[in-house]
Amino acid sequence: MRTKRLLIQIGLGAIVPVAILVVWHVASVGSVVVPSIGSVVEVLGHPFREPPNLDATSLADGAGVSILRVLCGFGLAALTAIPVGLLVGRCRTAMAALSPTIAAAMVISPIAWIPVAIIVFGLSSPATALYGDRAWEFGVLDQLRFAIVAVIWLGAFFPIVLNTAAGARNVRESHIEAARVLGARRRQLLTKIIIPAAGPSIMTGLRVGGGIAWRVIIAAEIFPGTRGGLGYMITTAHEQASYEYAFASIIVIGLIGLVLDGVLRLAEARVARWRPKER
Amino acid sequence: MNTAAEIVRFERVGKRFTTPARGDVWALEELDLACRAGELTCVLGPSGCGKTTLLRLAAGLDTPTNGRVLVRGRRVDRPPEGVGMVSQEGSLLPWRRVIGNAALGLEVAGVGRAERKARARAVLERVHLPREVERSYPHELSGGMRQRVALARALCPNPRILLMDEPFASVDEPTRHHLQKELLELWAADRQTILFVTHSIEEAVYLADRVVVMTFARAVADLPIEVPRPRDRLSDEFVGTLVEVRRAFTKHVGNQSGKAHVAPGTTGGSHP
Amino acid sequence: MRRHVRIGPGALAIVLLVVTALGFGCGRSGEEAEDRPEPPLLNVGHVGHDHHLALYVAALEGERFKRDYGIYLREVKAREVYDLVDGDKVLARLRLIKVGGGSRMPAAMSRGEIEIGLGGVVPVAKFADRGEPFKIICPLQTDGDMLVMRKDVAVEDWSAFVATAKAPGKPLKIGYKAPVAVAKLVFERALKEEGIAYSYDPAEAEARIILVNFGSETSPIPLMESKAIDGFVMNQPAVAVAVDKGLGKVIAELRDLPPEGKWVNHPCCCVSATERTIAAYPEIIKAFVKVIVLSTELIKSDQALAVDCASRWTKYDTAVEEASIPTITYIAEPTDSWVAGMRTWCEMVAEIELFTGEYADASPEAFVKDVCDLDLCRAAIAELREKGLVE
Repeated sequence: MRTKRLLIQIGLGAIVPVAILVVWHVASVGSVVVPSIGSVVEVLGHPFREPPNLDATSLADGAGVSILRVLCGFGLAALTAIPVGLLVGRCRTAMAALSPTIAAAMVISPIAWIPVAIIVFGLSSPATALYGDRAWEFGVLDQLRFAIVAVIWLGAFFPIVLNTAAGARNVRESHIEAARVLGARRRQLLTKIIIPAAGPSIMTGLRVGGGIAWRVIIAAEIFPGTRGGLGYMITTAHEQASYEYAFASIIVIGLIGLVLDGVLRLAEARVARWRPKER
Repeated sequence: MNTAAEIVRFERVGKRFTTPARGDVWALEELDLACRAGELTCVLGPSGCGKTTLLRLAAGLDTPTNGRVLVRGRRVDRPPEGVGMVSQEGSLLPWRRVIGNAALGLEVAGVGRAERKARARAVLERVHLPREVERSYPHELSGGMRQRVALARALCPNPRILLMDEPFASVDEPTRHHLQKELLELWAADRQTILFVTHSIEEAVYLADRVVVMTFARAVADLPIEVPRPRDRLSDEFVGTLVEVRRAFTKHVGNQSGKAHVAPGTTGGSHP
Repeated sequence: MRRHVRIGPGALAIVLLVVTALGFGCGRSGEEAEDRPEPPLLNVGHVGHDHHLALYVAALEGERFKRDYGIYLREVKAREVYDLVDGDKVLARLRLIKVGGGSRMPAAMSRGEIEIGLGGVVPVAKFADRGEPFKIICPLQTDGDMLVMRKDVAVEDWSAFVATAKAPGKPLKIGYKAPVAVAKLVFERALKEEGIAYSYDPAEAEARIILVNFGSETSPIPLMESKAIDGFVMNQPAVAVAVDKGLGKVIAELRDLPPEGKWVNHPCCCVSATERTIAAYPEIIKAFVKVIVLSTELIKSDQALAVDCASRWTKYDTAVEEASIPTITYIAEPTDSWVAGMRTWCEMVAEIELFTGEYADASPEAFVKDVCDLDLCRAAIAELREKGLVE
C-alpha cells in the first residue's frame, strides 16, 4: 500500500517534467534554436570540458565563477543590509532619514543599474586594485569584477534591509524590558534580544535577496569585457548559435538556484526552529 | 523617614502619561510606600489603578513625573542591580530553550557557560521543573511551567528584591495554588523583599505580610496580615482576615473599576 | 573564557573586496609613460569575430611571425595576454579584452579600460565627434557585410528584394545589430536610394521595410527561425552561420548596393587608439601596426591558414569560416580607395545627421584628416617595405 502510494506520488511529480521533455523534443525537431535533448545532455555530461565550438571555458568553470560572484555580492549585501535594517527598525530618526530613499531605490531593477556600474567601476576588480597591470595573473580575483558584484549587491540589499527592519521593529518590548531588568546593556540587548528575535525575518530577507542575487548574475555577466560565468556562456552561446550550451547553462542555473534556495531555506528553518508550528 | 530596613521606597511618587486621544492621565498620584527588607508586600487593586506602573518604576523601566523611587537608598532612574521581575505573561524569550531563558541574567552578567548552566539547573530544580524540560522551548510548555521558568530566570542572579506583576493570573486555580506555595517556600529560604501585585484578595491574604490597597492612582489602605504561616485557606483565622480585607477593600474601592486619575482640564480616560 | 572569533573564507573574501574596493581605481593602465614599469601593459579591445582576424592570426601564429618577420606576439596567457616583441626586445605587454561591438569599444576606450581598440569606423568617429580624443590609426578590413533573407522568402537578389519591398503587401522586417553598425547604415542608405520607405516603428503604415534592432549581444538566428524577421543585415561570420544553419540565404553583399560603386571597399573595422596612447607610445603603436599589416598580408596570401586561425579563435566551424573569410577584404594600408571610403562615410553620416559635435559641419576631407592619424601606419608600412616583408 505504501509502495503504491509512493509510486503514485512519484508518478504525479513526474508528469510536469515529462511533459516538458516531450514539448522540448517536439520543438527541437527541425529547429536550430532549440537543441535536441541529447545534445544538451551531452554537454551536461561533460561539465569540465572546454566547449569545442564556443569561446568560453567549461560549464563547471562558468558555474564556479558565477557562484563566486554571487557569494561576494550577496555576502556584501548581508554584511551591509543587516546593520542598516536593524538601525532603520529600531531608530526612528534613521527610519525617517533612510526609508524614503530605500523605498524609491528598491523598486528600480538592479539590472537598470548595470550601465551606471560600468561607468563607476569599469573593468576594475580586486586583482586590478591589488596588482595593477599584473591583474590578469590572478584569474579568480580578476573575475570578481566590482561592477558585477555591485549590481548583485544592489539586488540583494533591499529585501534584506526591509525584512531585517520589519523583524527588528516587531521585537516585543516585554522581551527587551525583561532583559533590561536583568541588567542587559545596549549591546547585549542587540545581540541577545533584538537580533535573535528578528532572526526569522532576517533569514527571510536573506532568502529573498539570495534568489534575486542569483537571478541578477545572469544579466550582469553580459558586461563588456567580462569573461567567464554562466551568464557569459549563455550570451556567447546565443551569439555563436551553440544553443545546446545555452540550454545546458540554463539548466545548471536552475539547479544551482534550487540548491541555493534549499540551503537558505534550511538555514531559515534552523533559525526559526523555536517558532511553534501552525496547526 | 528613611530607615535602613526600608529597601524599596516610594516618596510622593506621581506618574503621568500623555496620550494623543485622552490627553494627560495620572497613573499614580502622591504615592508613599515603603517595603522593608525581607517583607512580602502585596499591592492589591482593581484593573487600571496603577499597580503595574508602580512596579515598572521600581524596576527602573520608567521614571516618575513627581517624587522619587529609591531602592537601597539610591534613586532609581534605570534598572537597579539586584532586582528581579516576573510579569504576568512571563516574557520568556521564545528562541531560547528553558535552560537558556533561566540563565539569561547570569549570561548578561558575564558568568561562564559551565557555571551558569549549573546554577540555572539548580534554580530550575528549586522551582520543581523536571530536568527533561530544560531543552524545551517555551511554546512547548504549559502555562504553569512557563511561569516557573520565568520565576527561575528572575531568581537565578540571586536578587534581593523581587517584583512580581500578577505572575499567576493566567494559570488555572489548582496550578496557581501550587505556584503560590512554591513561592512561599522559596521566599522562606531566601527571604528576598517581594513586591507582589495582584487583583485577587484571596491571593494577597495568602501570600502577604501586608497588603497595600490601591485605587485611583493612590494607596488608600495598608493592612498588616498577621495570620501565622503556613497559612491554611480553610482555617478560621485565614477566613476571618480575608473577610476583613475584603471589607476594607470594598470600603475604599467599592464596585468601581480602577480608573486612573485624569488631570483637570483634560478629557477623561482609563489607564494607558 | 575568551571567545574566539572564526573568520571563514567567505568573510575573508568580503573583507578583501571592501578593502580593495577603496582602491578600485588603482592599477589602471592609463598612467603616464614615465610612471609605468617597463614594458608597459596596454589593453586592446576587440570583438571576437572575423573582421578582427588580423589580430587573431598574429596571436595564434606567434612562432611563425618570429621566424619569418622578427616582430611578433608572444603568448603569455592564451587568448588574453601577449608580449609585443621586436627582435629580442619586449616592447609592451598587450592584454586582449573582448569588449563587444558597435559603440561598446569606443565606450570602453572612453572609460579608460582600453588604450587600443578594434572596431567599426563609424562608432569611433561618433565618439570623436563628441570630443573624445580618439584616432583611427590603421584600417583592418572592408566589406564583409551582407543582406541575408530567410530561405522561405521568395527573394533571390537585390532587384527581387526591391521589387518585393515595393509591391503591396506586408512590409518586410529586416534586423540589424546596432544603430551605428556599418551594415545597417549602408543598407539604410541603399533603401533611400531605391526610394523604399522604411521605418523603425512597426505601426508605420507607409513603411515597406521595418528595421528591427536585435541588439549587438544577441544573434538574429532565433528571430529568423521564429519568422519574427524576414532577413537581416550584418557582418560576417553571423551571415555564414545563418547560412550554415540552413536558415538564410545571402541576397546581396552590401558593397554592391546602390548608389552603385559607393560601397565598394567600404571601410568597416579599423584600429584606433587614444591620442594620449599614441603620444606616449609611438614605437609600440608602430610595432603593433606592423604586426597587423604583416598578419593582413598573411591572411591574403594563405587563405587556408586564415580560415584555420579564424576557426581556432572564434570557435566557429571551419565550414562557416570558409564561407565567411573570402567575403571580407582585409586591408591594413590606408590606400586612396580606403581614404575615399572614409570620406564617403562622412557624407553619409552627415546626411543622417549622426554627427552633432565637432564634425557636424566638417567637410569629408577635414573629417578624415581629423579623425585619422595614419602617420605611424604609413611609417610602419614603409619600414616593412624597406625590409622586403611587404610589397
